[in-house]
Amino acid sequence: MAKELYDGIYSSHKLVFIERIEKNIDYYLKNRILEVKRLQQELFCVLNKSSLISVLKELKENPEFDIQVINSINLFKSNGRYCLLIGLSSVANNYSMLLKVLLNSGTDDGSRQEYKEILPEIVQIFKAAEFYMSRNNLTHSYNDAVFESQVFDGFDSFDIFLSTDYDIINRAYLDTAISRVLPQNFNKDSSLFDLQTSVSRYDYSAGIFPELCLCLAVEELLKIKVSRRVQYIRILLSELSRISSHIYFVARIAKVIGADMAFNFSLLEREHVLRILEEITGSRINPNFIKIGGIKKDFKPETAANIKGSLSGILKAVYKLETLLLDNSIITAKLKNTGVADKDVALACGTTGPNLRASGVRYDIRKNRNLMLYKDLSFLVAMGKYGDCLERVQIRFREIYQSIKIIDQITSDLPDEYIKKPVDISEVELEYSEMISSVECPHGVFKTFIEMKDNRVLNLIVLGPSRNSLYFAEKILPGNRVEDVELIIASLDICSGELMS
Amino acid sequence: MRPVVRDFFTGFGNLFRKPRTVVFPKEKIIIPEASRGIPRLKLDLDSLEILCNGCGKCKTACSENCIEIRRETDDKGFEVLEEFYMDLSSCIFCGNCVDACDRKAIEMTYRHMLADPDRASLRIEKMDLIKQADYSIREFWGR
Amino acid sequence: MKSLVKNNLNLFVAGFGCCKQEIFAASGPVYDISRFGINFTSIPEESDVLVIQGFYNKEGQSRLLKYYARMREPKWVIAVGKCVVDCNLLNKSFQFDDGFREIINVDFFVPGCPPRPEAFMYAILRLLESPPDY
Repeated sequence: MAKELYDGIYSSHKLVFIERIEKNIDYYLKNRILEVKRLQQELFCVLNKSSLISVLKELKENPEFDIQVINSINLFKSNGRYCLLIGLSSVANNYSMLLKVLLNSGTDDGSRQEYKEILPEIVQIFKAAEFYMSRNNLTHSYNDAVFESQVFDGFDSFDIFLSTDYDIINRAYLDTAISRVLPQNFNKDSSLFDLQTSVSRYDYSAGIFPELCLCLAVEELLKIKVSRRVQYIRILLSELSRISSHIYFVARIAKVIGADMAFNFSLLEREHVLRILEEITGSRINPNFIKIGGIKKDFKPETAANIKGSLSGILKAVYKLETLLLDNSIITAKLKNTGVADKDVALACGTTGPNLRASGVRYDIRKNRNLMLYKDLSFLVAMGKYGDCLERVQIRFREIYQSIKIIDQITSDLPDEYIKKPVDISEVELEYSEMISSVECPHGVFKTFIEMKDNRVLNLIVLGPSRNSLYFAEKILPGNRVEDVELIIASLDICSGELMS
Repeated sequence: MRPVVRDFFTGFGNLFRKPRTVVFPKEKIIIPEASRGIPRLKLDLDSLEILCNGCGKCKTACSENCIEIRRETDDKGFEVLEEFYMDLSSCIFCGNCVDACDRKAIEMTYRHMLADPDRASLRIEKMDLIKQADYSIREFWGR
Repeated sequence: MKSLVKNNLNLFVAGFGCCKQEIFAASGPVYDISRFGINFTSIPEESDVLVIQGFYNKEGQSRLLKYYARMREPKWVIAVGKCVVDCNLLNKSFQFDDGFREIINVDFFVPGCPPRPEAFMYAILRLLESPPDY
């Protein structure tokens, strides 16, 4: 039974559904787009700048497509031509697509000028695009309270500009000037081997996910099928790092509230989880473990038994942590009804992951798509209802329990197979090709877009979920009090590594 | 009432429990076996010669270019390793050099506590890389 | 080192990046850096040691200089992680400029990407043991 499921991993009703949308795009937008293709459960369109606005209008208004969410806008250079990469997704129809818009000008300044000209037109269709416009109102005359980047992890990569009425916030702007570390021509024409070792720094609180995302994309390009044991070990590692990231999130929340006991206790538990991760991968934060076509090295059968043995301890400790933090009426009263965001706001900002699920939208790409072997495992998608800070903390706790459940299933029946050596990348021959891949990381949907030729990566564009969370924070801060700013931003779990590009 | 009683017993039990904190300079934290610390050059146990022949595969595998190798020809005509520099200040401890080596001449130790006021002293040479072997014994941590 | 500073050393951690979570892990119960009287503060005026870590651009560099100028003497600097000790991992073209290096001279370098919490603690203990002359 399981073998049949594995053989059919690349074909399911979800893909047929995407095929239908692909045909519809071909039918409706025939004259306006240059090319449409399907890249690993996502759609990819190439079009000219002149037809962009009409295409966006059609995509939004036609009920066949029903795209309401804009996720990202990036300016990049590919094949000597400046392009715009627009990420769109539709939660109702359960698919996402990337538009590659070819710009006219060939110079650096000209492309930036074009980018500035085209953004106001996009804002009229999708309002969330205003986050990518240049901000004139980030001056002290507009705002009366400015929080510079702070020391504690999670608030250290942006400045907060507030305009207030006594202690109620009217407008909020978050500026990421100090976190734009990477130059614009970064990740151009670097070798895949070098990129694999350094890519995990993009999401440093759970370093396995960027590696996994890159490897999934390249494996799809080279048409490599990996064995079931490798897939299970990858899921095991990603769930472990999800647990460690969520516990770190709880530590930050506890620090902001001032619950020192819970802060210390969660750091202690994080140490336990990181120890398991280190036993398998060799490093606490940046594993460099997942290779193309496999993993670095197999672990011994005792390790699986060890993990299974320590699971009950982790479960007990997390339960204790939850009672310590949330059985306290003072803490719950502070968390409740602060930073309330309803479904529509969360969707319009393009938020994904636990922040979206806390507002009551069931969107988890582990369930919604064929992501690795997640469909063999039984787990629930944790859901919230009201979308306040309490809900966002609770949903992380529930996700930890589900992750423990997944790890328990994996360790009890890990298939006993021989693991092949990873593919030697230096001998790969490949035509110029593009690929998109996405994984569900602890903050949301982590997406990468790569352009490859042979074993050189011409372009790597990281579309992290934290940028959307920043815009989401701007939307939910107005109406709250100034003293809750830290709490609300901590509850959105912003990872500054994703803001770098 | 119940939480108060529960908290009392938890607190009372903690009096007899071993503390969680590792008293750091006195007792060392045991690091898992697969963990990646400072690289070292292995010796052949019988002849006490360096296994490395300076082929330079680790140098190409290193993504941060922190390895520098010089070879020379000995009197029998074989190419042997003369100098092996490793710049630990730019090393990211990824373990690619260990994977790349065919002769398994390089491996990673458990030692990772490095702090120095002088940056130049973080660039270590061949003899120091061999001496790391003393520290790779796990008993080092009990000392 | 004056015993007052020695028994109550305040650290100011600047920048953002992966090393930060490892530095704060040292304040957790397993390592418990506060046994040595070491605290983390968020105000430069109160702090004795500036810990530089993580990723920087021009804006971040100017802010670092601002923090350093606000610190009271005696003050020490520890550089943690590969990105500060050598060059930025993800952006190799960026270097701290010469004016920056003239003003700030680093007392301890802690290599690693990121260094483990005990490596950071080891640097702090060496600083307490034999502080460089200021």
